Amino acid sequence: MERTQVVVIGGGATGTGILRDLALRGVPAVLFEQKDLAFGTSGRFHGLLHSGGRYAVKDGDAARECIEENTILKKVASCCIEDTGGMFVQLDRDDPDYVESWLRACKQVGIPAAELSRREALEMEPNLSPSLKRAFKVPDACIDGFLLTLANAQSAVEMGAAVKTYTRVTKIAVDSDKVQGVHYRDEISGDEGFLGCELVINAGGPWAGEVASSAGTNIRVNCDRGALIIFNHRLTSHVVNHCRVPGDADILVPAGPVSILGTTSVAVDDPWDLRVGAGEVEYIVSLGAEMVPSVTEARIMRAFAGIRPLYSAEPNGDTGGREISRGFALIDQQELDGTEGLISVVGGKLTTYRLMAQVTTNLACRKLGVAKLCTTDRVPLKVLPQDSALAEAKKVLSHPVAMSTYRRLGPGLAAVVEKVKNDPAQAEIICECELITRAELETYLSGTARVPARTLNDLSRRTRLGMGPCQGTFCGYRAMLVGYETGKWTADEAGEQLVSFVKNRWKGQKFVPYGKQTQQLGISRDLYGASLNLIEPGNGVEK
Amino acid sequence: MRKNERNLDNCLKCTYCNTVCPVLKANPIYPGPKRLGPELERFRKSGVDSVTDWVDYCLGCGQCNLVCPNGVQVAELIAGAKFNHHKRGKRMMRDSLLARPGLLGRLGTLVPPVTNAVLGLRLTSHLMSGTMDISENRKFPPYAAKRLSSSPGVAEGKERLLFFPGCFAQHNKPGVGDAAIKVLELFGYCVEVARTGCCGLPAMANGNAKEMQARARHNILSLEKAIGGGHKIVVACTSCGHTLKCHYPHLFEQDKHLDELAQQVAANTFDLGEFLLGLESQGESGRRPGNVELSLAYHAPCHLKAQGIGKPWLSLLARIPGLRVVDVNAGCCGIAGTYGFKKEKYQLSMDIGRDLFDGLKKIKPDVVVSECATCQMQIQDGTGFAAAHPVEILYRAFNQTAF
Amino acid sequence: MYDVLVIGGGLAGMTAAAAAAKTGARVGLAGTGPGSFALGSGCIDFDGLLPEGEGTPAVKCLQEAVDFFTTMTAGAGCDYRGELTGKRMLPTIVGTYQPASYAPSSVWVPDPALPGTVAVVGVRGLTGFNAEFIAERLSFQADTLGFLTRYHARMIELPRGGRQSITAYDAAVCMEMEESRRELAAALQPAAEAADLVILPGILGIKVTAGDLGAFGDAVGCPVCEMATMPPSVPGLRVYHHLLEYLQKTGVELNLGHPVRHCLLDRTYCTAVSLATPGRDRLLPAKAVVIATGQVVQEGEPGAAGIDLPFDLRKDGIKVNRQLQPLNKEGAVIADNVYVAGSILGGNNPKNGNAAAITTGCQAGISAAKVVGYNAKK
Repeated sequence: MERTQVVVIGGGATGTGILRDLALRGVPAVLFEQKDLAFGTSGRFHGLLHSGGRYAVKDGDAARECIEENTILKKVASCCIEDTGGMFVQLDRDDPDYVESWLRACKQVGIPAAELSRREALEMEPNLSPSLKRAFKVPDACIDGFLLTLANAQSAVEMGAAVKTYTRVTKIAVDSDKVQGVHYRDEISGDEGFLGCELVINAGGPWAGEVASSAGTNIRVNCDRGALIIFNHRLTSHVVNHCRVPGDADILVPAGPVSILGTTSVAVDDPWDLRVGAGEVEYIVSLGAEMVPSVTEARIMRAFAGIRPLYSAEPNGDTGGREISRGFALIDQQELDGTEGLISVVGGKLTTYRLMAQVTTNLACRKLGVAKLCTTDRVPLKVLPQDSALAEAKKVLSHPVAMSTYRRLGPGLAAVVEKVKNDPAQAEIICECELITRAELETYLSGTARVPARTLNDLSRRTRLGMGPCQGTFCGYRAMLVGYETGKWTADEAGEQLVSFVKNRWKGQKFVPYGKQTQQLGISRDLYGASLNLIEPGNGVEK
Repeated sequence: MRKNERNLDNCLKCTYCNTVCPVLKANPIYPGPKRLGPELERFRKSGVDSVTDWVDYCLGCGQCNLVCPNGVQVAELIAGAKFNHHKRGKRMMRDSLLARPGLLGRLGTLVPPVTNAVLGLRLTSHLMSGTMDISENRKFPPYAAKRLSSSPGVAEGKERLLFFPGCFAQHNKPGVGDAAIKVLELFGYCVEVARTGCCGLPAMANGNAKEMQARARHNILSLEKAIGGGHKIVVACTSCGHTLKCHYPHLFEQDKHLDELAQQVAANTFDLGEFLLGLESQGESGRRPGNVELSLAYHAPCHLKAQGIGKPWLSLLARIPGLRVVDVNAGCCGIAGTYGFKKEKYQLSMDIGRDLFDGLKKIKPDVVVSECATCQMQIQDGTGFAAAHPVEILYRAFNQTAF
Repeated sequence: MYDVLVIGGGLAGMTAAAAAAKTGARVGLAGTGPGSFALGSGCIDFDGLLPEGEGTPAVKCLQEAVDFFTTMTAGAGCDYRGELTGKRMLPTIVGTYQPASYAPSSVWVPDPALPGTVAVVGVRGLTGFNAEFIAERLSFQADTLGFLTRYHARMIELPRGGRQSITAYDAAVCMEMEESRRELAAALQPAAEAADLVILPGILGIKVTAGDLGAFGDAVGCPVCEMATMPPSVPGLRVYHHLLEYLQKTGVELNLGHPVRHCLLDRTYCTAVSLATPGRDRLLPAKAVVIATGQVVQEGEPGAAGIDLPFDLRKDGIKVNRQLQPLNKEGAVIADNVYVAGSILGGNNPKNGNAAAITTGCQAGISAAKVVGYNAKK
């Protein structure tokens, strides 16, 4: 594999979306991701498929983009979306004039916002604050960034594309102002190489600036960090937004079995700065409590941060590219400084990933002379299985396990059922918090997987392993054994995987300053630090 | 946040609850309280259809609650799941009937000799097995129509105790009720037999929330006046007592008046043994108990342990001269009320009780005493030993009447 | 009325209850759950607690406390082996070594530094234990540390009642019966022939005694030891079960299953403790109280059973004087008849937590009995 037509850098929603769009148009491409799919912002956001309501007042264009994409994605990406619906709530102390202007703006942009009676709203969401005054139903939904990114990548691979995880592009080779190809290095195997190509698409998210500089060019990406907290169980069944001027911690999203509350906004210099700042958790809780008072009592499982990559134009005002919307920017290096064969897409939100990918791929195809049109608004990512597939699954798996596996895998459920039918031992539950079978883990570890999981943390992203209340304390070990038993890792590699996995799980829990999770973390420390003597437990909570 | 949600959050996945579950010990395929309770509750809350027939196999013994280091009310989470688990066909009909022992009792005591004769027929067992999956190995306890009577002083408006008879004392073995009332009278109390019905536990155990609420509502309204007068409620059956103390306070969250009443009922409910032992420690003594030359084995029902009052009858029986009592201390008997009458659960029920049966056979007592009527039935079925409520022994000691 | 009431049924609480009971005092124990027993095997490591080292509040007569503990566990049927200043490297399921000064004899191994051949035996269908993985990792570890013991893996079959996978707990339930243990011993003989030691996952039953385990080892024909598994870990639960029975035999009244709501204080004197039982709280009057509530507790933060303490218990633990009496911010004793033991104390370190538990538990139990007028018998 020494030459391809297009290289995509960045395995987030945008990058994988572009890879798939290219594949649908018949353009050979390879995607390089420095870590794992959705390691970056696509795996560190709110889980929200915006209706656009949040932007209606301040940025009508962005809002319109959201509602249009919201509708499209619910059709083509339903495998990754739970259509929970959403609400905008006005509380006692909120400005009623803002609410009126919000309603007008939604109408103008085309976002349905039907008013619910107070009684209806409280019946639908018993955990809402009693200071609720008005509530409006909007088509917000929950979208799983991990599943979405994976689905795009898998779809692309099925059509002939290639995805290389843990493979960093160390240098974009430019000769006579023309991109020749990329130098890359696989950080797990150590393999290095060079892949020639005609065009490089930089979808590096917060690292887009670093990627560009490896070509000797410069684009400025501002990193803005937002923290989010995850509650152990679902506090609301709809997305709940605070109907006021958008600020911090005013959205609560039901995501799978959990609820996610956030977020904040802190400018940082380093795209790797993924810490949750001191006091941010308490701050988010205090604001969220205005909408849903029980957040102060609910168990916080974990806190995490993601970086919003914001494009900022050059100081002399020459953007060097067209800002397609104030949401994201598409930069053609040729227009900026004459370098041929490099385009970058920066900014945006996950809700509009498909649109960003479309616009970028359109440009790419124009440059490559490919006359195909975009079809990602029509071709579904995955075809959901018939009810009969679910019925088959219930024959070999208990009902809740079948349902939970189905929710994650969609059509992939059949492969799991097949494995269990051939070997009933495959039905063993490895992760009890999330009901994940050995069969499911093996499908991702296997070399024949379209985008195999290479580490335990990857497995976590694919399946939610370790994302439940125990945060991997008990299942991490069993999952590691699965990797060992399938020959994926040697005994020592497996041991290292476990250490890395557990430490990663500890990281997010350490940010939680109080509550039951601190006791859960204490158990994990006792277990891995003392009883198993595997990891240094450290003393107390690190700040 | 509702109590159920707070509860769920407490689970730290230590799995200790599984190690005391009598069902899991006897049947390793059973998912266990951790899975059926807090684990699946997270999924139920997130809208994943997590119905599983296994919830029906929970005994409701509450031992999981007692060992959770973190206060997760595991048994209640599973009971909640049972409410949403719908049955079909003959089992639905059966469980509908078994949920209403009060009703069955009133019907059965219309003409007890006829009822008992019919229940005693092999044909009847056969029919019940065929049409309703009721185990042929179980004999329904005979019905008796004698009504319990309050103390004479009650009519004169004296200071009184309320005695909550429960289904067994009301419809099957009034002798236990009589003995309880007489013993309390010997301690100087006026006892009024409460006009309550079934406590509602069988309805809850059979997954019928509405029926349970209806039973509870009827009972707490009957007790309202007594509670208002500051009178205490004494219960001889530990399952009824546990239901009043532990479940009633959580049934009426939507109705302020009923909720308050329920809290008061719970706060004023005393197990008979708990009450009598309390009197002893306050220095009140009834008559001195006479000699009873018997060798007893004592079995503590699961619902007694769940009340957290220790084993008061062991202390009470120790004061009777001539009596030898051994605490068999061998876990759950396995019948779990109506559970053990069901065909699909009969063998499991007997397997669970095996340790207890073996323990009793080693002791070879004259009589086995236990506060729970169905525990007594299970012990008789499993070992052949005679079984009785400990108050019957105490009454005999006070009265020297033939037992 | 109890002379001494111990709150907390983990290692610290049970040691305190036993120590108090030995003086002749009337002792009660209130607690929920097995504490850290379910997490491991009840190993004790004195690293960092020996008089030369730093650590938890200085405890007098470490050896006396340890002797008390080892005598108690031997009497309970779950004897311990080890030495106060010794350190035995015990193999774990992740292929590392856990250093221990003392450990239950069922998990005690010969010194791995000495030459030896160890068969790590897995059971087909048993989840959470892979003998090959463990043997490979241990061999590597041993090599790195310069140990001369070598490990290899073996697999045996046990009847699984038609199920594809069983947990260590399921297997342990089976192993309560002597016939099952005999079958297991027979299945192990081939592996035992080529080995100096056989290592099994912790499945040998919770109620079995040291005597039963000894007989089992004899039947196998070579020394056998267990490894603690992921929770619920049977070797730890076995110690817990035996200690509970032992406490009952020595007359300690157990009140298990309901948390303590608060300690009733009359100025600087605790008069009673209330249990959060259904219906209404149950009051347990006591003349002295030992608080050993540990790190995992019922409501919110680790608490001292409702005694209002002005510390962040999670970070700092309870501050005590040398007598283990709790102190307020000004350093004054909060209650004259209350003592604190175990991981709730300041400076707790998970590595030597169990060691601190038995030593502080012993001291607290003796002190509580003493303040009521019962002196420790030598």
